[in-house]
Amino acid sequence: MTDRIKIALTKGRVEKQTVPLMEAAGFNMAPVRDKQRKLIFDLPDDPYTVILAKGPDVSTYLSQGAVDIGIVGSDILTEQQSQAYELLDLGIGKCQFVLASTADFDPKASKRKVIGTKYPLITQRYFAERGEDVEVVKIEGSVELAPLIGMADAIVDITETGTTLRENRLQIYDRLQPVSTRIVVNPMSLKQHRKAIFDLVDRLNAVITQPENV
Amino acid sequence: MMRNQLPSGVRDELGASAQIKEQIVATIQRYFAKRGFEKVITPVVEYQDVFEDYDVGQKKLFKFLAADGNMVVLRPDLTLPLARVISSTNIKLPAKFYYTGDIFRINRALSGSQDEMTQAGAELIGFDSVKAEQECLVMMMQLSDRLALTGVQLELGIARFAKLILESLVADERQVRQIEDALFQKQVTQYNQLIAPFEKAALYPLLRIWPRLFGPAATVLETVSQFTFPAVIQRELDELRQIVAWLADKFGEQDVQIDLSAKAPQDYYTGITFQAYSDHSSSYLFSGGRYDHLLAHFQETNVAAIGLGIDIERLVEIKQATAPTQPMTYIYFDDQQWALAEQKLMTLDRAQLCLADSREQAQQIADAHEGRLLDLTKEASI
Repeated sequence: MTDRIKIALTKGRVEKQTVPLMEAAGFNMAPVRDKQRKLIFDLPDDPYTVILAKGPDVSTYLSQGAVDIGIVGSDILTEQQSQAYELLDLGIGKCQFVLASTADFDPKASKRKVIGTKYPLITQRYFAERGEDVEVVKIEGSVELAPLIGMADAIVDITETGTTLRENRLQIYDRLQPVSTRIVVNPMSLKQHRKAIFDLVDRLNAVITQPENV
Repeated sequence: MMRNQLPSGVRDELGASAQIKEQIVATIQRYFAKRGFEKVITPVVEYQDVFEDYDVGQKKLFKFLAADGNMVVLRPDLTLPLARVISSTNIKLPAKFYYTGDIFRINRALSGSQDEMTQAGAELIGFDSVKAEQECLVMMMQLSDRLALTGVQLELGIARFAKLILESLVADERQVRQIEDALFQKQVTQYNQLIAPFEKAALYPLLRIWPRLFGPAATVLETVSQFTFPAVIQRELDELRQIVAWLADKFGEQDVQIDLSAKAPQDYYTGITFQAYSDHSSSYLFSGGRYDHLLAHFQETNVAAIGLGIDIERLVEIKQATAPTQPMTYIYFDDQQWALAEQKLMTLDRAQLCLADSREQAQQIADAHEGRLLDLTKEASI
C-alpha cells in the first residue's frame, strides 16, 4: 500500500470541467490530459492518484473505502444514498432534475402513472411527497424515448439546457432539485489524511470563489 | 435453479479467512473472560419492537411474521437484545457482560457490502463512575495490542454535543435536525447556508469551524477552551478533558484524537463516546459509549450503562491483508507409522495427515493444493 491519496473522478463531462479547476488550483494534471486509454494516473507533483470511473462506481468505490476522494454529481450521491462526507460543491456540472413528457401528458390525470427514469429512488421520493403512487420503470439509455414510444407516461431526468428535451418534443412539467458536482470523501480517509484532503479542498475552494470563475 | 447459489449480501467463509476470524474471536473472548466478564448468548431472532425507535442499520432489516402474528427480525444490533435480557431477568447489577454474534442489516443490493456481520462486544451495566469509560479505553488498547494492530488511534467524542449546542441556539426541532444532518454529513455548502442566520450568536465562530472540529485531542480541547458553553455542555467537556489527561498520564505514547463534529456511533449513546481505528482500517474497529437511558426503553427505571463493540469483519480484513500465506505440508505415511505421523503433525506449523494409499496419489494431492509432501515412508527407509 502506498501513501498516495486516491481520487475517483467521474469520466466524461465532470472530468473535462474538473481538470481545469484542478490545474487552476496548482495541480499538474498532464497525465490525465494525455490519458490515451489508461484509467489510473499518478499526479507527478502531488501525492494523489486519479482514477477515472463512471459516476455510480465512484460512489461505490468510496463507500467501500477503495478510494479516498470522489468527484461526482449530486444526482448520483442522492440516488445511491451516499454516506460520504460532502466537503465542497464545485459549482460545475450544473443541471436540474425535471419531470418531462409529451404535450398531451396530464399531470392531474387520475391513474397510476408509469414514469421512466435512471433515478428510481429520486422519482419515488418526488411522487411520494405528492402523495402519489407511480409505477417506476428503470431506463438505462436515452430516457427521452420512453414517453415517445408509449413506454411511460412521463420521465424524471436531469437536463442542462433542455435542448435534448425540446428536440424530442418533450415539455417540462415540473422542476425538482438542482444538481452539481461535489467533492466527497470517505469518512475514515478524512481522519487518516486530514491535512492532504483539506489542502485539496481548500485550494479548489479558493479557485471557485475567485470572482472571475463565478 | 438457485440450488447452488447464495443470495446477494451474504457469503461463505472458508480456509484462511474463516480461521483468522476464529482466532480473533477466541482472543477477544479469552480476554473478556479473564477480566471477569460474563458471557451472554442471545437468539438471532427478536421481536421488531426491541429495536424500535432506534436508528440501527438504517432501518432495513430482515423481517418476517412469527407464529403469534407479531413481526420478528434478524437482530441488527447486539446491545439492545442484552438490554432486553437485563430488564426481564432479575440480573443483579452492577454486572459486566461480553458477547460475540452475527448481526443482520440489509445494505444496498450489489454494492459489495455484507448483510451478515460478526461483532463482539462488552457491556458494563450499572456503573456511573468514569472508571467504566476508563476500563473500556484500557480494553481497547490492550485488545489492539493482543491483536497486533499497528498505528492505532483512539478517538473520543461527546454523543449529544451537536444536539445540545444547537438546542441552545434554535428552538425549532426540525431546524436542529437539519443543521445536525448537514454537519454530520459534512455537507459544507449547505451547512454554511443553514448557520448564516446565527451570525450574531456568541457561538457563531464555533459554528464556522465546526465541520473541522476534529483532530489531536490537545488541539481540539485548546480550540473549544476559547468558547463559553452552556453549563450542561461544559460539564461534558470537563469530563472529556479529564479522560484525555488521564490517558496522557497513564498511556502517554497512545495517540488520542477528538471528534466533536461527527454523529455518535449509536443513536442511543448519551455521554462520552470512544472509537478506534488502525492505519490499515477502512472504518472504525472499536466503537462504544455511555448509554444511560437505554434501559428505560425496556423498563421503568434508568440504569447507567456503557458498551464497547468490536467489528470482527474489519479485523479479519486487516489480518488477512497482512498475514503471510504458508503452504500446507502433507504427511504421507504407511500403516506402521501412525505414531510418527501424529508426532510430526503436532510439531509442524501448518500440516495435515495425507490419507492417500500410494505415494503417487499423495504427491497429486500435495500438488493440487500447491503444498509440500513429507514422505515418512521414504524417511524411514533411509
